[in-house]
Amino acid sequence: MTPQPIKSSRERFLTELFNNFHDELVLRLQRVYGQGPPDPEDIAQSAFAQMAAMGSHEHIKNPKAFLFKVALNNGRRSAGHVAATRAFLDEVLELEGERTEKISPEHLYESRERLKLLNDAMERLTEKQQEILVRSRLLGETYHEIAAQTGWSIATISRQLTSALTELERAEASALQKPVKRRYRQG
Amino acid sequence: MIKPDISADVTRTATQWLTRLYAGDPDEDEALQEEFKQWIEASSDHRQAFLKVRALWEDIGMTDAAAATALRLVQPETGRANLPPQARWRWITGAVAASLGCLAILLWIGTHTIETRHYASKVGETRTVTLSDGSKVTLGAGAEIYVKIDGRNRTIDLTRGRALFEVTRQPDSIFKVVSNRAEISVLGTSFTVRRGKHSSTVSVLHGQVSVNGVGQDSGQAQLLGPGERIDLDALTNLGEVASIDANQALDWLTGRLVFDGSPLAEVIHDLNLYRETKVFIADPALEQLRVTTSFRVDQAEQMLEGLTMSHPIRLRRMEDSLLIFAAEPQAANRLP
Repeated sequence: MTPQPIKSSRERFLTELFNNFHDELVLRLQRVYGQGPPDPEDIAQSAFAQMAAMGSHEHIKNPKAFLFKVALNNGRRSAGHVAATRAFLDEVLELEGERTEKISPEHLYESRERLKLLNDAMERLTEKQQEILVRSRLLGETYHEIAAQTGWSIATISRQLTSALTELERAEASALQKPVKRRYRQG
Repeated sequence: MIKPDISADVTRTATQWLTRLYAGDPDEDEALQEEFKQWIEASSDHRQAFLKVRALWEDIGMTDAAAATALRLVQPETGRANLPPQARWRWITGAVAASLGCLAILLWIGTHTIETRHYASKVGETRTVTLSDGSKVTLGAGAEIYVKIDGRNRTIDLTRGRALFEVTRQPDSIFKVVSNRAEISVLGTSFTVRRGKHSSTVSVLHGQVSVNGVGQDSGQAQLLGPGERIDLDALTNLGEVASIDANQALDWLTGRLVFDGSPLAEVIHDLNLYRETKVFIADPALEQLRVTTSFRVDQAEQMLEGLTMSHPIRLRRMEDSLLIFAAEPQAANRLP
């Protein structure tokens, strides 16, 4: 095979990012996953590959933070029950022709405002809600594992998670309605 | 965003469904999933509400607040003061129980052998280990197992790669291997297990093994005899029983990989266990591309070059990796 020479500024940017940040990213991921599974090296590499596949990186303000978040999401997807649930949901939702492939964290570059709103709403949740949400959503822990780590009951975990998601939904819904109200007042 | 025409009740129910489905309780999986299917199919509003909640759930993972909380949670504990009140009580009662239990444990050890070990092979390396029960495990490239053997139970967690198990028969002791969502149980035989990205493949060389989904009852198990192979996917669905060529069944130990209509993601996943310079699929849409190939791992790049002729892909070498893109320039430039 004849390797293609690195030409574009985008590829230079990616290569530099890889060379400068790869080891740091793996170290950060080792803090989360130890030696795995998932293997910190593997999910770091996947994050770089996903970033490489993006056409433009101008929308990414902090590439290192972005890579870390993509890698965390990749890691969580590899947890057994998360992978099984995702596969099940894809199957059920696709049966009726729904498009689920856009449901990935990486499409978020299209909706930076939405992400900012979600981030603000996350910060308004109680510490307990944030912890449960992150343990389940980002660290891929089962409710039994969360209960073992925190001492909270399964019922509490389930209830707090539902409340947290409801709060985030409300924040989104009210943001959706605001521009309409503003136009009404102006009109 | 939640459309105003979807009622708050439906949205709340959709949220409850999501939290139940991601609870990770294998005992509830099947009944829960069936119930969920019925709910989704009952109304287009249900589907719409659930898709919105799921999109929110996915997006949470890309917020700075979530990443910061994750890092905070995984900081090493500096002492009991960091534990929440319930956990602190559990620590205290646990400490008391532990000291009372010491005598019982010492007595118990006298009559039981316990082995808990971790073995791993390096990238491109194969390695054979002998367990305390006399069984032998040959680890393929980049493979990893966690072994737990006590008097009655022999449990191996295959967390990466492929392994050949040559199990010493013990009449009262089941030898169990767990790989992704597959659970393989035997008394004494030899068989191989491949843990793929999401799936697992079991091939039997001698004797008989039972293959089951984790958490499923033994009535649903599939029995495999010599020369037979089966795949089990992430949803614990068992594939068709297929025949294996006994002469090729252990080719992976000498660095030859064979795939028959397998997803490209699985091919690359296995290939990377043999390589320092990793190969990555840069366009997730290519992960399910079906590939039939047989190649030596030291000739993998020729194999990949061959795939560019027969499949809509192209290769790009980066500093320390090889990326696979979709062949069309527009496809390669769009987001995953």
